Amino acid sequence: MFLGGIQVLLMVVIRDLARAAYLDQVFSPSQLGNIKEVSPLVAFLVVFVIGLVALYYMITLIFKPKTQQS
Amino acid sequence: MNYPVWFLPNTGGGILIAIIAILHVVIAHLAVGGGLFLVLTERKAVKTKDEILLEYVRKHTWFFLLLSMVFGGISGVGIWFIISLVNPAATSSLIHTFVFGWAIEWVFFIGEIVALLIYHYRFGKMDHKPHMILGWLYFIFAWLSLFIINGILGFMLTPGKWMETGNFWHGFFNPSFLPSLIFRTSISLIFAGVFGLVTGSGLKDADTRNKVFRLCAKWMYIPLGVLVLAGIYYTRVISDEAFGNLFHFNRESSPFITLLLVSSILLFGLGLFTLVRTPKNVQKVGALVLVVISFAWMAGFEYMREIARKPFVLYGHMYSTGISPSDLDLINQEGFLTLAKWSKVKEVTDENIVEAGAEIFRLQCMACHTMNGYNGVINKSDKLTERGLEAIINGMGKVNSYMPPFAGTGNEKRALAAYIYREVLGKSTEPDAPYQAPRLPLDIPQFDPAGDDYVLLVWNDLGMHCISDNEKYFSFLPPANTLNAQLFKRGEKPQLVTYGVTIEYEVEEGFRNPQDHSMFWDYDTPIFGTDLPEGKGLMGKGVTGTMELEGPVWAAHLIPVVPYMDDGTFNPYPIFTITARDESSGEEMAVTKAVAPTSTELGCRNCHEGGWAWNGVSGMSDLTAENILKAHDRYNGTTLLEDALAGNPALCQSCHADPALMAPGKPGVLNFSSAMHGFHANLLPGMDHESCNLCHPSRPEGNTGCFRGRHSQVGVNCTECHGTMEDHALGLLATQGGIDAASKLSRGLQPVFASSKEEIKPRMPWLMEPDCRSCHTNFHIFEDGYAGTAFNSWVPGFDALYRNRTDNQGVMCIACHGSTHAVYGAYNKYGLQRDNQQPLQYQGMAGTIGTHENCMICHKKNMETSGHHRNMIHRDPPPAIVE
Repeated sequence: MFLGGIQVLLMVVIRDLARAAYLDQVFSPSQLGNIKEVSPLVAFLVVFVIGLVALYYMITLIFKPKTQQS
Repeated sequence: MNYPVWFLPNTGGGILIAIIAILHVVIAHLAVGGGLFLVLTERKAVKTKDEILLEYVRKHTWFFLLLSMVFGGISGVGIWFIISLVNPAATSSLIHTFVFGWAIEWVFFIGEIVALLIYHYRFGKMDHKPHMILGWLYFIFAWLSLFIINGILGFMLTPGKWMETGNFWHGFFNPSFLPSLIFRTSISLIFAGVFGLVTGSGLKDADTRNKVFRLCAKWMYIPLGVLVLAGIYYTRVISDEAFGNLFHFNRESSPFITLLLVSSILLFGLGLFTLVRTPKNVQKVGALVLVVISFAWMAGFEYMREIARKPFVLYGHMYSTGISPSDLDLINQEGFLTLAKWSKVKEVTDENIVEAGAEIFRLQCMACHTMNGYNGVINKSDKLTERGLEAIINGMGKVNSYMPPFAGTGNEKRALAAYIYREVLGKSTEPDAPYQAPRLPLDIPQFDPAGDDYVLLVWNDLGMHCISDNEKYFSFLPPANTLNAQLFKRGEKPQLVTYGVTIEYEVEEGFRNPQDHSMFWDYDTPIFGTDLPEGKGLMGKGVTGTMELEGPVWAAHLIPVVPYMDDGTFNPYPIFTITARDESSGEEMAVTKAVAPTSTELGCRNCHEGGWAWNGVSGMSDLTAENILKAHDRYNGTTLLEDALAGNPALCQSCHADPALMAPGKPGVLNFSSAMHGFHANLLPGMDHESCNLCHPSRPEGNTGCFRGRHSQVGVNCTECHGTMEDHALGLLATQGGIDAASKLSRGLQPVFASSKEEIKPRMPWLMEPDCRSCHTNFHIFEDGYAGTAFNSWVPGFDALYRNRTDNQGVMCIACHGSTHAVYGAYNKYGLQRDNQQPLQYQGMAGTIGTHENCMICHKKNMETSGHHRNMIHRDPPPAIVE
């Protein structure tokens, strides 16, 4: 598990370095303009928390014992 | 231009996007409506204790899971893959604008997956209530996914206030958000019903099967009304331009509109079979047919949405080429290749012009076009010459408003045209060699100043009459020259003779059988609605005949003379001999000669391909005429080519009004001159008189050289009087207010001789022409000064035209000065003095009649005063041309 995590991390870093080297002459992320907006992030975080709660709730339903005939 | 290109010359990325997107979008909508279908059907089964129905729901869940989650999930990734390769700039822009929107959608998608997996794998193993809660949660998450994706899709078509603010929420809750959400929700419910039929048709029990079919029918038909209303609402929120492109201007949308309509009729028509008890196999086939129709329906809808967005991929923000409108000026100035990050060629030269064009095509055109596949450039450009292609590239974003404007310099436009014409189409361009016109001999009648009692002055009312001489396909200019004459009895006070004489005219040998060289008489009935005797014109005149008196002039209207001689020679300047005879005795009173200029040097072939029709010299070829009609049909939805091939060619002016033919046209259609100049000015911008020469027979190296009057020798060209092509078109279009096409054509034009469009005075063609007195103010250009241009100074109407005006004595201006574009002192390439025969006959020099103190021609003595207009007697006149 730990080694798997390290592997993924290395893959991400190497991919990023390879991309940066390949695109060195033509593109850098710093060329992109930025508009600072917090509200979409807040909206995401709220939805994310609701999503986690909903996932937890749905998983608990799996383990709810069956009480009726169907 | 900032990304490398996925080179798919014959498949094209667009078609791949379409295939994957249509498959995915149908399934994605099913994933929403199908969730509600599952939980409500389960609820109904539980409530009615219908075990068979419940079993149907269980089986349908398995089918649904495989289709919506597995196939839907894979095809969803496929869309990202394909759009990021085909249009990386737009994909990047969407990601960077809505990164947290996507993140939210992924939360909902994970919720969908978890809910559906539990719903399926715990079916029958849980209590109904929590199971149905899972079903509801699935539907809610699925609909919320739609909610998010709908906002982003809507943004692509109607970004609304986001264009000014860049605010996430302005982009997300854009003008089409609500109608699109209602529309797509309705679709998802309808698709739930359609796909419910597939599993329903597999049920063994006939009663249950029919029960499920009736249930599915409700899902199909109940949302239908909402779908239609939301669709109408949808079309109201898109921009007028997008609406126009979709339903009027872009013919590409027609098959998809048809597809949507036909598939709608089939879907909801054939769907009625669900209400009838039919054998199981029929129901199975019927269900599958409806599924196929659903895909076709979605293809129609998605393509229409795509076309409505054109020429943008993100409406108003990024063109289909991946270029932003805000970058256009810079690219046009510095060059597309210079700025393109992945181009090997950086500058266009004569040596690399084709290679440079290929690079431009790959980087700028291939996001939409293939070579020979869908939207293939070969099919779209094989009716044009290299010059025509350059013109079409100029018109992109203007007359072709569904295409983005070309981004790049003039040289880059030429390079792209050269690449398409020379390499893609495999054609070669041979420039026309200058036409060597024969110097034809003249036999000028003699004038005896001492003995002759009459002076006969004759002129053609126009300096040039053109004939569109392929009547098999269409006509806008029939063979129709009008000769006018004035006869003066010489004396101290000359008299205009208007009675007691007969004025006869006769064309020279070789021109007397026009019917042998023209299709005019073969198609006079379908085109002009009359069956004329061969050799006779539209007003009954032949190439020989007599004139009638009309006010102060004698006239023979619409003489059908053509420039093709019996011996196969092309000669656009046939000479007529005009004789005045005493009406009672028949005695000859005066005789003179005049040219009736007539040409078939129409430059349509310069762009529309086809070459010359007449001995390789002049005339419109069949191919040129066909290509013109194809273009007209494509832009306007007409069937002119089909009609022509069926033997019913049209007169262009049967729809387009034209004062020259006294044709009223049709309401809502531009008059002929406005349509021709307005359309083509968008394709030929930024030129001087070369744009005039491309179409009119005024090209100095052409076979006619119609602009041959004195002005042509003193550095004046077409634009000094008419303005540039753009100015000329704007003046004509300004009279056509209220016609949509006028504003559409005007929008792409920039005035050159005026500082604004509003400054250009509206002008009716043929009736309001440039006023000579703009420069010849009070008839003395050197003393009075002149404006340098007659543009935007129109005569008020027909009677004030140069060719219709007289001095105070009733002498026509044109009688002494010669025809427009051929005023005396003219240089004719078929013999220098061909147009100057009357000045030479009466005064031995080729200037204005009476110039150099030749008043005695009519007055029999020299005069001391300028009786006809100021400044007509020069004591020290400039030299006139004498051969």
